[in-house]
Amino acid sequence: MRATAFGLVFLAIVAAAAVAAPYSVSYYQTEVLILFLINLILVCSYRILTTTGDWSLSHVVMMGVGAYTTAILSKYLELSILLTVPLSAVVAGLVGLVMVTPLIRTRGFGFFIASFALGEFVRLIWVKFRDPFGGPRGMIGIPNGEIGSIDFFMPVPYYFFVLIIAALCLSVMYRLDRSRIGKTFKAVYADEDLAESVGIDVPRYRALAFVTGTFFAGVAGSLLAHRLGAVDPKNFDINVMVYLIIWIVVGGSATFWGPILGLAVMTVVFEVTRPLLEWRPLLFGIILILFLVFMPGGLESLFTGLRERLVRRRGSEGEG
Amino acid sequence: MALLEVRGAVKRFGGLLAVNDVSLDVEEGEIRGIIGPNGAGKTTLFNVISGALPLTAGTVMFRGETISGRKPSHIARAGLVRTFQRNAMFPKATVLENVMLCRHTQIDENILKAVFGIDRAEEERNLARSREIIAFLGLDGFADEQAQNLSHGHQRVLGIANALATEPKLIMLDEPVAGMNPAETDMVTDHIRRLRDEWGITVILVEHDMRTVMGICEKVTVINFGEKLMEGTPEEVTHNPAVIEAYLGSEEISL
Repeated sequence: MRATAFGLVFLAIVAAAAVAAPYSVSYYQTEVLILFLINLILVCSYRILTTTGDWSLSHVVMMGVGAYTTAILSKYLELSILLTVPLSAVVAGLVGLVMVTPLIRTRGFGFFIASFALGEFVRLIWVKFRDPFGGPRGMIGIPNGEIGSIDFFMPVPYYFFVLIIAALCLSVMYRLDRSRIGKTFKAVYADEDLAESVGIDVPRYRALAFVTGTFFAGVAGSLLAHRLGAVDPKNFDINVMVYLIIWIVVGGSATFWGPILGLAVMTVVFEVTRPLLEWRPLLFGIILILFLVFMPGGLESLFTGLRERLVRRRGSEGEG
Repeated sequence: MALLEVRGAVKRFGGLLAVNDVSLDVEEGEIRGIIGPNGAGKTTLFNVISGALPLTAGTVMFRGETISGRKPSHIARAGLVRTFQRNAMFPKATVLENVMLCRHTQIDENILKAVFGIDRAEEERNLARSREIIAFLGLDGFADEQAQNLSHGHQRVLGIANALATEPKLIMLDEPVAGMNPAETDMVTDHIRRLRDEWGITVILVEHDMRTVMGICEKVTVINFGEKLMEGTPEEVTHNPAVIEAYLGSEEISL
């Protein structure tokens, strides 16, 4: 009960800070916050896949599917942003469904490599087909979008739009994580043979996690395309994928909050190391290795460890 | 018609015939023992019946339906479930959570239901039934204990609880009393008998502990080198010279 109350207070503080944020920072910082919210959807959607043990290397490409879909829908068909975002998610989910059908036959390292290959295949389609994907240079002139008289060219209105979408997506993903399906995903990871023996259709659940994850990656991609006004195949290459993995490794993936923590910390690190431009990949590589070696559970393991110790102490006091 | 009919089951691993033309009928309400020396192919037989491994040849019929070629999860839904020789469980989940997770066959799940509110009545029913299963196996004192913290004996019983969570018609137990002390063995033997007597579940068990097999099985199938050596009452089996030869190479089976 006390934990729930604490959670509500914490949530209220975060909500208040999120609403106040764009009014207390510069335009540039608001742009950073928008990118943070988009990445928040991306990293949480990626965690859905990882709960079944499928560390896909194509997740950023799936975000790209959402972005390209939005580019085409809003540039050529001039659809409203209220339609492009959900439609891009659906298209990304459908592409995810097509991709996962062969992928489901692989596991572990095989899955890792096969997902990379399929992702690159999709990226090559964008590079090869100048029409309608714009080839290696990608597409430009994607509208920022507007709702009624609110133009999303300015960062503050768009920030609030993204904030609402992110809150919606995260609450759905959170509920999914807590639901029977979310627990089943983790059961599939914990003991595949046992799960299958008690009636859990393991391939079906792995596919469900993959498609759900790609659906939300599509949302993130759509929001990104509207903000940048341009998409290009390099936005969704393996370098970006490595950043996504770093966020999750730094934060941890055992709880819903781990990837969010990792993203928040690494966004700050990313921003303060801007002057070090060419050294940044090295720095991030070192951070990745240090976490893998010294804190494989990520930053969240500090909190879960603390909580376990508290529970144990309270338990032993009760006994004594 | 028998509840389970295995017809000419063959399982080949490369040059090794792990199961060679085994046929088997198990009637509803039976407690059937499957015995045989180490490496006789008992667990492989379990694996091909439960769908964990594909058959090389032969068929398996359950409740009049062909189940060979189907996935374990579908076979579990049909009412046939198996336990493992290892302590298979979800180690970080509590005993109650383990059983709840394994009630998959009883739940009609979809993503919309998961996100937009749960069926409270169904959830309550599940919880109540899970507690009943846990209590039936005497694990009620450990319901909120993490599975990995249980003793070996209790972990093995949890394996049975997880299988029971699927509401099976037939349960196949792979060495249910392996590594247990005599008191724990007696307890599990008692559970198995009550499973049949009170819940009407048919039981097949593979076991090394001869005392257990002879104590609760009405009929025993002996497997040797992947082939069915004989079938009969515990009495008949223990006095059969071929069985004694295969098992011990000596005069008599010690009980």
